[in-house]
Amino acid sequence: MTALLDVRELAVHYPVRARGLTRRRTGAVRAVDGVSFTVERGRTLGLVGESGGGKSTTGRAILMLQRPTAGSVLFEGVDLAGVAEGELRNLRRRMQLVFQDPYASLDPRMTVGRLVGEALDIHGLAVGRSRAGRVAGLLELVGLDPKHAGRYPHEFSGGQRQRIGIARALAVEPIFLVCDEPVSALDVSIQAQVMNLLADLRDRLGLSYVFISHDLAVVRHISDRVAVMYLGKIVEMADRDDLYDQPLHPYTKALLSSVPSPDPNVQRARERVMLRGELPSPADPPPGCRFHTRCPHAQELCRVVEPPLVSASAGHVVACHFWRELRSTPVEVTRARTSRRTS
Amino acid sequence: MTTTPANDRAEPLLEVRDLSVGFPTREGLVRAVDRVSFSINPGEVVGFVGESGSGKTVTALAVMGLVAAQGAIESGSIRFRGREMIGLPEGEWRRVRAREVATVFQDPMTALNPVFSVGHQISEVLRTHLALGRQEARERAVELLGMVGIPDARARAGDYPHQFSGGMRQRVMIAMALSCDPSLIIADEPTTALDVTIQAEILDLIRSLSTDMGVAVMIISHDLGVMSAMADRINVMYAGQIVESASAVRVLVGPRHPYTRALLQSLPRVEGQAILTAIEGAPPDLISLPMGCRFYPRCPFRGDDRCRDSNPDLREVDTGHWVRSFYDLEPVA
Ligand SMILES: Nc1ncnc2c1ncn2[C@@H]1O[C@H](COP(=O)(O)OP(=O)(O)OP(=O)(O)O)[C@@H](O)[C@H]1O
Ligand SMILES: Nc1ncnc2c1ncn2[C@@H]1O[C@H](COP(=O)(O)OP(=O)(O)OP(=O)(O)O)[C@@H](O)[C@H]1O
Ligand code: SF4
Ligand SMILES: [Mg+2]
Ligand SMILES: [Mg+2]
Repeated sequence: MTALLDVRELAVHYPVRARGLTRRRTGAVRAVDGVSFTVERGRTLGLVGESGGGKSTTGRAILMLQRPTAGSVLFEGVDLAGVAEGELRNLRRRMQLVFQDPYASLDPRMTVGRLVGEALDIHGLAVGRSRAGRVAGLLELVGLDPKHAGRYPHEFSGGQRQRIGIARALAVEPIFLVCDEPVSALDVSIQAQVMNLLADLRDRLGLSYVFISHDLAVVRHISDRVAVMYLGKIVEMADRDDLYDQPLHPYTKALLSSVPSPDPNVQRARERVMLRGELPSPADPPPGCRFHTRCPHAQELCRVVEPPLVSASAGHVVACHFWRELRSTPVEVTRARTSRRTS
Repeated sequence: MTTTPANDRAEPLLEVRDLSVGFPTREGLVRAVDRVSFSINPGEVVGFVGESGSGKTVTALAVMGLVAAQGAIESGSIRFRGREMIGLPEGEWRRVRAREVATVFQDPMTALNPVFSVGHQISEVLRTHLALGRQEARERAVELLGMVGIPDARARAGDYPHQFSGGMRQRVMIAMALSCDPSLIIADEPTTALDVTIQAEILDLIRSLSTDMGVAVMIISHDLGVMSAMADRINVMYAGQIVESASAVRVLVGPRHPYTRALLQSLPRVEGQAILTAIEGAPPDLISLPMGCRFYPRCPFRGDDRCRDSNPDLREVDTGHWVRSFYDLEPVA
């Protein structure tokens, strides 16, 4: 069986224009620069990485909310990049987006019943009594009381508003969701409610997700497979436990070692991998390995030659010239106790 | 209530007792902070953790004498080096703020002036508060920027705030905070806007101020991981009250308040966690608070009618371990 979603060499370059009247094109932000992955039916691919890595752009490009500069997005075997705007509408029923900020995406003057019903109307999915029934069913599905269909978004808490956003996305019976930081704006005690809901819906309805978050713990919890992005590229991708328990790329190691653990014993034992410098601009990514300006292991080769994404073991790919050496030799110079001065 | 979570030994730098803050609004009185007591010793890092709206920032603002300006009603006691601050004229507060307490906020851009170089801004603080001469202030500013880890500090002192990245700007803020040689730094979500690798560096830096320079730190965050990395002692806030207060290890490893325990169980871990037990419902509205325990409507461990009908006081369940609950959870082995 082919994968539900097959993304190949996807690239999105945003033009950078000069200030002033001419708005001459002076370059491009290579927000996504040759990214490939697949998502199987009923599975979740997590996308992690720091700000500006290209996670949201990837998500939007999959849904053709942002037209790719290059590459293909095969959804159920059809290349969406080749589909005209008018015909995308039907396909969009099958794929939906859940945003970070539920409040900003909900019209404050509409009742929840209308907000959810509107999604049905757009695609002419249900009318009259069956429409009311569908709305009630959707609210129930996401754990909201159907009796509250007459309320307005501001009368709900953040977590409830995110449920409304999810109900809206589910109204058109999609089989695939891009969830872009769906719990990042929520309080800790509410986050778990929404994560459990998403996992439950996936299992009950057989949905597939691309789940985007900068929170590595959240991504570990929900994903089957995880891809780490840095400056528009996937630097490492593996099954969830492989990636978290045996990270190979220096960036993945640095990320994982930087997350402070709520368990003081884990936190104390943690050996931090320190990075040098700052995140370079994606408009002008470093030559060679894009990570070399911050990598504690960078060699001359890294500054010149871009490391290809290679298979390290079954299903585990990594883009680093020295992943083999780094796996066998423990990290030396880079250790620092968390309580010590950084400079 | 006569008892208060006090840190034994040294005389506290800051001692807050039964602090309450309410904001009159059109819908009614918002009880933002309710009978909060805590103390901070010299060189100690005290964490405040809690969800959005639990009263962390208002507590910090009250400690700086900044809530009265917002029309808030307050009661209780705030002692700084043994001296009662509530009721003092604004001029006295200002003096304490300038000489003893420094702040680091989530968004350094709001605290930095975009039209002056960072070196100039730090020099100005030094000249006003410590009466240093122009040249001397300049030198000290460069020194401070170097101390917080700005590479090539002398050259960068001439740069403007927008020329720094988020993490570097937060370092500049910390250099500024250090300029008046404070005894207490209040850091309110200092790393919430930063990427995780940068966050780790800034947390290291703040922690080192306490370890190496003996500065006391009041750190506020909604992130229990940040608490674990930073705090000696943790105060857990819920709906305007401190519900649990103990050493960081006790709170994180052996929590005894139902909210703290439920919160830890609802937290995904980067080390992996098979089941997330969500806390159902949401925190109460501060205008119409439940009569009993504020966590009662959501509490998975809730007991009898007492929990429903009266708000518990903080009790010391073990030495230095305070819990605001009728129900004391068994310490975990
Ligand atoms: N519409 C746009 N026009 C120009 N540049 C853009 C646009 N959208 C995003 N970018 C740039 O593309 C890069 C990738 O952005 P993107 O939002 O995809 O990153 P992200 O990984 O989602 O980051 P975050 O964690 O901050 O959400 C960034 O440098 C960003 O500034
Ligand atoms: N000036 C004000 N007038 C009225 N209500 C206020 C005012 N300032 C704060 N509040 C309310 O007081 C409560 C506590 O706010 P506070 O800012 O201390 O929360 P917090 O714990 O810092 O939350 P966050 O994590 O979102 O920063 C909130 O319900 C807030 O809406
Ligand atoms: S290729 Fe070189 S610079 Fe890039 S991650 Fe590997 S060691 Fe570091
Ligand atoms: Mg994004
Ligand atoms: Mg706050």
